[in-house]
Amino acid sequence: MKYFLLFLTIVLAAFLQAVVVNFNFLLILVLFCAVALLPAIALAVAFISGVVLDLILGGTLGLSSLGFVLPIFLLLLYRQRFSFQNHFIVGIFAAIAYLAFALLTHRVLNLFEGTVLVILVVLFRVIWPSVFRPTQEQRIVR
Amino acid sequence: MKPDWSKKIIPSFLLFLLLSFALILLDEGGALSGLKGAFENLIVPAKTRIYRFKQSQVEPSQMVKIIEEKERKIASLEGQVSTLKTENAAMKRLLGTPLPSSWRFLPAQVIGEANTQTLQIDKGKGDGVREGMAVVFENALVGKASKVGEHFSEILLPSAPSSRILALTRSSGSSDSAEETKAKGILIGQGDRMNFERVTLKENLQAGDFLFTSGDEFLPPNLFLGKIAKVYKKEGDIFQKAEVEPAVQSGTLETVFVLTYSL
Repeated sequence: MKYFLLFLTIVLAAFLQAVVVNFNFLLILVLFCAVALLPAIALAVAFISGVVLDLILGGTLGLSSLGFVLPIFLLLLYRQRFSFQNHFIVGIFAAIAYLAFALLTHRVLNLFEGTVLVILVVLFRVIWPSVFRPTQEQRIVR
Repeated sequence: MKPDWSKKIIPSFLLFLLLSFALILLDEGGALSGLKGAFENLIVPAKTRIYRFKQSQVEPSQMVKIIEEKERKIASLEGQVSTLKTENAAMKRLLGTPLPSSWRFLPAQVIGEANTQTLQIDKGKGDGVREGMAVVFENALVGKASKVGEHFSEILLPSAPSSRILALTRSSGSSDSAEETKAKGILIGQGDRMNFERVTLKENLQAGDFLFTSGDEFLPPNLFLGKIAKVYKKEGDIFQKAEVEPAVQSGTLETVFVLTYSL
């Protein structure tokens, strides 16, 4: 049920992004999953989000998946090294993910969109700090 | 501890990376066109409806402003009617150049704006659209097909920063003999506007001149691009440049035509 709801959210976010407002909602969702879920699931969410987005936008299938999976992999690798309790680190990772996604998918870099995205991710961190705390599994690994 | 953590991530990462590349290869090879086509058949009508809805929406607070503005416009337009009639006659002669009968036009509905630099239309590979094809409205260039799906395409507008179009100007003079090429250059998109650049200083470039495509391997010649608004010329420079008013307002378009004529 949890994963069905997550898939529904992905479809809704992709539709919203492709049809209603041209803003990368999916990247926020994927970043959120990368800090809140297990790595394998976070990567699966990134991959599926890309496929759904490409299907709705009509782009080359797999390109957006690549654009999501690569920055999420980097984020997961460094999730152990950096503390996501720090707003600045969260903002930097959001900006890197936005840049990486735009470059990998040949999308036009939009400074306004990028800034809003970073602010939203940091706001999430402020409003909902528990998500950014290390999970049980991460603590065990540490 | 770090190696353990990496070991946990890397297999999943490699799996999804390979899956992504496999999808890209399969899609580029056309193996997924059926699946994408079926999906687009579902998405395109929804996109069209939402785009039409967005186009028709006016907030109540804006209504009073719009009415006041329209009243001012009517008053202003009444005074300009006589001038415009004369100018219109000249423009008709200039712009009414019949397009070659060998050109084939594929009507397409505008279904959205991906951003300020692209439009989306409801025709794609399955309808005969290919990347680079020109999209026109009347005899003006709307843009070039930049990303083509099965049943919809993205059109790169001339105002997009990555857009470069070989262009030439013709004067807006009243006599037929005045309709001659005056300056050649490149129309470069600047995001929200367009510049006509790389025009040598010796060429005659004036505000009010009309800009047309000069034709290249992808674009046919004589498609209207816009009107020169302001010329920037400095003594000692090699080139002069000009700001260009676009021929079409992309936000107001509903039906456009894809030029399927192969050059």
